[in-house]
Amino acid sequence: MRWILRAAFCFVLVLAVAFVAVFGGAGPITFLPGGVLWGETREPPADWSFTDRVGEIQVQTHVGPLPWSVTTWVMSVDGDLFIAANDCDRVWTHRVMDDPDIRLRIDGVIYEMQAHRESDRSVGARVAPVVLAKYMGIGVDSANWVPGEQNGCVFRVEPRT
Amino acid sequence: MRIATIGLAATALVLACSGPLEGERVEKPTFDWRFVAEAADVTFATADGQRFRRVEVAPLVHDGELYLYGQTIFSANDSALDAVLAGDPLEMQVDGRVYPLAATRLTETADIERVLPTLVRQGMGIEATGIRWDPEPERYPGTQVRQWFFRLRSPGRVDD
Repeated sequence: MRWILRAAFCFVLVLAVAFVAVFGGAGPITFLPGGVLWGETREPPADWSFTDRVGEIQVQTHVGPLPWSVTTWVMSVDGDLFIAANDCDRVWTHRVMDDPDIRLRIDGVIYEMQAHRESDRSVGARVAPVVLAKYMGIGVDSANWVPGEQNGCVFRVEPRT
Repeated sequence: MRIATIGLAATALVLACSGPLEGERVEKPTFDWRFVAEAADVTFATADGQRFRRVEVAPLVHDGELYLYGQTIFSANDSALDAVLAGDPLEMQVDGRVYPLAATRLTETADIERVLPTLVRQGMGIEATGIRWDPEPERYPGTQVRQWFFRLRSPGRVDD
């Protein structure tokens, strides 16, 4: 009986530590979501081309009152900034569509931003070639997502108004 | 005793998720793999049952030929990938059948570019023109996922 109580106590302890670690600021790790993103906050730059050499960034939204952050891809296209999800049916994508205020962490720096989902084909024609080149090493003359054949989505990221 | 029980259970779980693929073995060489592109569930493993864990793999079928595409964002190695790179045979489970395969890694640009349209169109849902292999683009240094391409054939197939 005592070992059952000890096991239950350890289980609760592990859960508590995990909760504090995740939502207290451990940050996302690869596919695992995290909580608060820590770092120096700066004003959004006018030129995001420095993100061309950054593979992955972190995006913080929230689930109810709890911070929720994930790792994702970032694309800078002619001065505009985009983030993408290969599956739009994710917790963070739904949350961003509900509340566009997000925090980005790029190279350890926090930017307070807004994100809005883009479904315009003209945006796809700008972003898809960047995704292929930047993440897959595939150069193209032109590219665009085939309507209805992928589950991902793209968000345009802009300074908060 | 409890620790031993938990250890045994964990070991059983790991073994249950590995081990050779099960199903009717197809030893006769296959020349047209188009049915794989239509299959809902395709599983790859090495002949001794190792699954790909850190590397995400998917079949690509181009002109009836079968290819394996693998990618990962992890820096650590994958034992199944290491085995295939070392020349170990591979197996593929499709619709209850298991196909033994020999894998040849594609490293030449021309060979990789042959399957890129299929990867881009079928794997990513993107239609593109002027597709070319550019694994280290100057504008995007070091941001690419790690990728591998293999041509897969039935062992002992003689046709060229």
